[in-house]
Amino acid sequence: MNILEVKNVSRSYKNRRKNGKKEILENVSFSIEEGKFVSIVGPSGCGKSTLIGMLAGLDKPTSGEIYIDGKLVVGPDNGCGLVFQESSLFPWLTVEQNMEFGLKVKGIKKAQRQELARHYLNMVNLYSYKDYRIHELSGGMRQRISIARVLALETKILIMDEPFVAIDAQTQSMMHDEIIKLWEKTGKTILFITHDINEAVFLSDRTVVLGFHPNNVKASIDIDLPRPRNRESKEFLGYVNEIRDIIGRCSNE
Amino acid sequence: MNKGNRLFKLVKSVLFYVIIFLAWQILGWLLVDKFHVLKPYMFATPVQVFERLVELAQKGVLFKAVSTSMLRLFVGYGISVVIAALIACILSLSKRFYGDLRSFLSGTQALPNVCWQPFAILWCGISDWAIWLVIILGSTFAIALSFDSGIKNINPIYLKAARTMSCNRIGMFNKVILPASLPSIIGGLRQGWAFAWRALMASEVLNSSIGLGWLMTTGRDNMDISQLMGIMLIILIIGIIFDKYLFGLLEDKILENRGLK
Repeated sequence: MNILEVKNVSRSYKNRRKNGKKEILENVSFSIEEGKFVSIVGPSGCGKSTLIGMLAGLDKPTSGEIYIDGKLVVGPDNGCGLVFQESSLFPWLTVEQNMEFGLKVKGIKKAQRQELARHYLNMVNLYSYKDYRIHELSGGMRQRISIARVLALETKILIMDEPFVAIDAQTQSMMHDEIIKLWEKTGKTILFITHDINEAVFLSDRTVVLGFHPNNVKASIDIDLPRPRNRESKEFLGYVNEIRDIIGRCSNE
Repeated sequence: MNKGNRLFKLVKSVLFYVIIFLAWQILGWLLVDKFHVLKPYMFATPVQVFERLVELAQKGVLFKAVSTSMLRLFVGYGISVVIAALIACILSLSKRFYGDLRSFLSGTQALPNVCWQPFAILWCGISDWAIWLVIILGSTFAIALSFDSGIKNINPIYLKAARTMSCNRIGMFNKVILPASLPSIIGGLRQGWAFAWRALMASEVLNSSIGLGWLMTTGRDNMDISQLMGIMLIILIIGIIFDKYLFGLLEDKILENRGLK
């Protein structure tokens, strides 16, 4: 069962100067099965963030449709939880209040809110920090709480837009292990956007390679490796090189 | 800060002011009595000032003046804040004229308070209305611009995150925009208060009804330097209490909570 269906999606903007159109995405189509970890790799500026905006319902495609769990996406309330590059946790609230924010908006009662917050903070091992303010936490901790906050909303899909790009390499490695653990524990469908090919191959079941328009979807590669994955193995590096070649070829077009 | 540290700081402050008053007293004695550099009506020592203030307090004049002035200020400032909030709403809703409107307000705000006085007196005569008008003209635009800057400078990621969590427009305003721009709002209120205070004093000195400004004017007319310096001291103290201890502490607490201090 495909939990996400992207059908011939295009997005262009009016270019005021040239009196024409600026095409970002054209004819993008792909689908994701429930429970899979899929990554989207591509160079900066190829339209990854634009695509994410539309999946999350924050933006509308110029043409084409997006279906989540069979329903057409028309607005933000569509079953996608988003984790951003920079911490979007609210600095005027404590960790626990941040966790409860989305739940409060949904009208969930206090007791249940607290229980959900507790459950998901425990999942990322940060429950003891529930009364801390955001500025008192490290970058890695903030992203873990951002993930926990979105998990607490119990959405159908979890979209992560280059979530570890601003984190140091050592913590990044820990975060990779942690996100895989969370994925295995919750069985969520995860869409992971990155420009780091190594990260994509390490984490995902399948990698969609995005390039510049037209026909932004350049390839869709299944990563057939058992977890935990070895970044040094011949097979692993084979995938990395394959994807690198595809991206290299797009840049030369 | 532990208790010992706090006590030390307090003692240090008290000592500082004792030294200031002693220096002031000695300066007065030197300038007026010993070297006759200044005439007696030009300078008052702390003791003289204190005596005069006690006199005024006993007559009930001091309390009446302070309460009248403060009431004028609260009314004028209160109206300023309400109008400023409306202006800020208009600014955030009008995309086409935003730039022009903002520069117009900025320019108007730069006009010194004093320039509004003759205008206010022609409109309202010598009355409390004229004073309120000057306070409002002096502080509204500054507050409105601060409110607007605060809203415009919110990190857009917060709005994006709230939208993905199904926040509607009203919820967004109450739960994200207001708390996110609170530091700027308090900063604007604080600055507006300072402008209103100055506008009040400038108005009262030119206006002839009971108030702190009036006490200064009569002090000048009677060549009563103790009264004049005494009221100046009172005005200084009130200004410090509101700016540093009310707004200052509030602003500090809000900034600390957000890790901005």
